[in-house]
Amino acid sequence: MSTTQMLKGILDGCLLAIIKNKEVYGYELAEKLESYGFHAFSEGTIYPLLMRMQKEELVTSTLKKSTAGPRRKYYSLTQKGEAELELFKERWNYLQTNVNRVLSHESDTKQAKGDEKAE
Amino acid sequence: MNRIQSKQKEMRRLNKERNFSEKSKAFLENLRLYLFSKGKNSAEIEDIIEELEVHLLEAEKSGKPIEKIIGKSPKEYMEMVSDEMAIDYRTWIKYIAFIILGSFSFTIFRDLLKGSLSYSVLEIVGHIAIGIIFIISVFIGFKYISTTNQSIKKQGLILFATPSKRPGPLFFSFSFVYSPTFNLPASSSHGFDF
Repeated sequence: MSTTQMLKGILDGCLLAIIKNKEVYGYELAEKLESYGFHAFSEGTIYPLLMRMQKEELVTSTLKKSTAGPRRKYYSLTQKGEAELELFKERWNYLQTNVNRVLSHESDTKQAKGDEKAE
Repeated sequence: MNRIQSKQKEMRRLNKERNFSEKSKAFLENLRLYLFSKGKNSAEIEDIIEELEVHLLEAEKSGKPIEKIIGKSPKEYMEMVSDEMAIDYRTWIKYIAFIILGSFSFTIFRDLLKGSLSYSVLEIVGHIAIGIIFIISVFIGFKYISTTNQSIKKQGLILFATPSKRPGPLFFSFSFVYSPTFNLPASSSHGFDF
């Protein structure tokens, strides 16, 4: 499960981004993530993350009654959380551009080498 | 107010259980036991259990298997949750104090009635040590039960046979060890059973 390993730090940022847009509860969060294409991870992994984020005061939660069944815990972003989200965006852009640059450049040079040999 | 709330909670629980699979129920019970044996705060435990309950219920409604939620290994998932929760030392100390004092009170009370209140250091230390060994073995038993999938019969055997009988022989062997070496009042020399 290398995807899960790679996801670890990134999922936090995604959760923050989703929570920022709308107050959501856990199941909704998992559904949203899935709808964006994250199918491989086990949905339950978001809860330990949410617990940590709450401890770090990035999110707050309120319990709300629902029409069908037990109470739901809704999460919303704190100011600290919003700042963290901005930081995450910066870090992600930095990582993304650099990784992309590495990958595209390295594959280009490999092709070039291959071409040289062929000649 | 509180009574009404707890009644409502009970009602809700009953309603929920009607359409809740055995597997999910078992998992939540195991998680509760696991977190308890890890010394977590009980309010926090109920919090995460309730949250997961909501999730599992909705997942079941849309036909997702429990593995999609907690992954292939429930134990790993339980550890993950446990790692994010602080240990509630206050409650732990309370439990330990209650159990040790509780076991002490029997001997003290009996000796009080007999009119001979004297204990050797060994006796006191031994009592506390046995109490702690007892508590630890019970908690280890809890943790073992919650992370391995056993039948109800086996679980009962582990819980009631192994840890709870351990103090018996310990107390016995202990009284055997010290009585020849220490000259104790007659009343307390053979008084070490519960």
